[in-house]
Amino acid sequence: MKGKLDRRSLLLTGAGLAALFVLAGCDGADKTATQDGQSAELLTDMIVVLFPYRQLKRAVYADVAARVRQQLQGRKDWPVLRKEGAAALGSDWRHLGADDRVAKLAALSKTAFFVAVYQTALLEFYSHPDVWALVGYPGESESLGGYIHRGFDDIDWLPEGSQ
Amino acid sequence: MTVFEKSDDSVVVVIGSGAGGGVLANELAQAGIDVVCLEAGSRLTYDDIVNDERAMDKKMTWHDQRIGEGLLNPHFPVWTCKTVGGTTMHWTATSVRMSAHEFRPKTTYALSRTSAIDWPLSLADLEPYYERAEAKMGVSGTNGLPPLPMNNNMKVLAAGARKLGYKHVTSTGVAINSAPYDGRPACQQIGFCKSGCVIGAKWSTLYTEIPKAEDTGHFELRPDSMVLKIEHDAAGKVSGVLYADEKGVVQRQRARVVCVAGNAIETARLLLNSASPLYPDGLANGAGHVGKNYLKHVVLGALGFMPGDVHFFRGAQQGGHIADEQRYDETRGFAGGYQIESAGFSPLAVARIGFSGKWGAELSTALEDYTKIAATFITGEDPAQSTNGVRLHETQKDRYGLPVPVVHYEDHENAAPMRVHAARSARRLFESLGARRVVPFGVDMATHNLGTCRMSTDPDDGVCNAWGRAHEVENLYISDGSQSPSSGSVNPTLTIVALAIRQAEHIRGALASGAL
Repeated sequence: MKGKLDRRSLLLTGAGLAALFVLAGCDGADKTATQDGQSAELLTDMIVVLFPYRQLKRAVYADVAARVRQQLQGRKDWPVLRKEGAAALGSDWRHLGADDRVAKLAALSKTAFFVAVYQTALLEFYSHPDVWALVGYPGESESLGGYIHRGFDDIDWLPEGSQ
Repeated sequence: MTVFEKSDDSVVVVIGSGAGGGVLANELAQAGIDVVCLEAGSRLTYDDIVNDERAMDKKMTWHDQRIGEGLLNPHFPVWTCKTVGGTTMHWTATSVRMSAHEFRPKTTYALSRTSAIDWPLSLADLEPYYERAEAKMGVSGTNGLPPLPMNNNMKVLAAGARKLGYKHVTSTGVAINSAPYDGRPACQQIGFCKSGCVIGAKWSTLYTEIPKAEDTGHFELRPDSMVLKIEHDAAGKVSGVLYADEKGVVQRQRARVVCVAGNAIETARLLLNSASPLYPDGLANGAGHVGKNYLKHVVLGALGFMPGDVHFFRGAQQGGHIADEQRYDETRGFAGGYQIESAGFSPLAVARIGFSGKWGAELSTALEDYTKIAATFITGEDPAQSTNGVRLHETQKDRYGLPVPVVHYEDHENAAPMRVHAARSARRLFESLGARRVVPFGVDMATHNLGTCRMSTDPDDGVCNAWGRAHEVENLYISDGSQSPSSGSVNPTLTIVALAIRQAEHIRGALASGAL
């Protein structure tokens, strides 16, 4: 529940900031910055739904989202895909309940927008050191001399007589 | 460092530096024959090899555009390498001989809708060369080398195999040093075999054949050299090749003999791209078999979610394997056999390949048990079909201006019952040890690419003869897995190396006798 509250408060902060910018009548550049901020939040929320781990802090998801955005922004078709995707999700997607968010995303799973986000996010998410730590994958082993003296064959639960 | 003139028409040009090309080039150079080896990719050093799958993918993988059709990934149909050493950089080193019946698929299997032919050679013909290949590569269980020590994943495989009553489960037949061999160290169970071995315990031509060939003074490697076309003279004999050098400048290297070993996609593509008025359908393609009969094995992976930790990322990524199902026994409901191997995957690979297209709680909860996963990879006989193959795209060109290859693959009707049987074997194996869940998965990118320029006794049935020499062009050789008329059930590299050693012996003889 705590995670949900945190997410909600962040979400409200984002919306509040956006409102402030709009109210202040900022120029185009600031508008872009606001849209970028909203799009980053949206992307983060999408990645939370794609790869949900309660143990992971939102900051990790935001970090993954930043890497994903960097990759996607290198694609020529991304501006169009992003626009189409945001429109298809609808302005209220982030405010839906958890099940409805999943259902809405599932309905879009064949779209080019979803595929682009999913494939890039999958790559970045499961390459992230905090995710590796969570699932128990230590990454490189060369600097520690591999596993020859560190348990490559330490399995101890196989049934008697099967080895 | 030896350098040959581009105008030197006495050299043998070898295209590709992997299991086929690297071995052939070294075998020729050792015999005092001058070789120019043109490799499309760059040359890495040990300092470039790191325990980082994504970084190594960027450095080694062939990422030039290819289009997949049928059951293949449309954007990345085959996973090959563009680097010195070719796919011996990312291979997992399982090195098992094909069985006698696998050289005779047409005679042995009662199958319809197949273009299968028997090999023009037998297991007995190849055995002396298998022996030499095993000695060259330091295959575990041969040449005084012990079996590769079994890691946890292999132990799960072996324990399950025994529960099922399988008799032939082993970690022999792996070209990873189980003890120091040939100046290279023993395996330290680092993992990351698919990312190039950081210590060189895994056999790769980058660490072995290439430097040994260079030591002879009869060999020049030109990396970053993408061959565009093979040229021929008025009589139809090949006379040289055009290639784009590291700066993209087109060069012509003259040649006495040309040997093509670019992996089954690029080898066929190069011959098709070398069409001329004399060879309007492509070089050596008079019988129409270049690019046809593409084989890639029937493959199946399975993840077992075990009752305790396996840590299957620790140590060699493959190595343990079960031979019992390789037998010829059509009472199982399919022709041919399959091999069951242990396989280790990173979290990304589990997510991407094991749970392809999945997301949400289904994926994330599975990965929460990452340390408890054991896995197998199964490769089975893939009956030849003339409709599977490589062709040139009508309009799309790559950065060299060459038509992009289109790779088409559909299952033979034999594949489905084999896959069902294999999935059941994997499930029973893991469940016999208490697995609470077994997840079989398919793979839409191929690594064992074979058959696109197959050898045949009758010139009407294939592209080259039993030594890989093109039926139509007497000084052109096919020197990689493209030669194989059938896939058999085992990993193809050992057979490719054995064929390359045999071909080198043949070329040496032909050069000495003046036949070439």
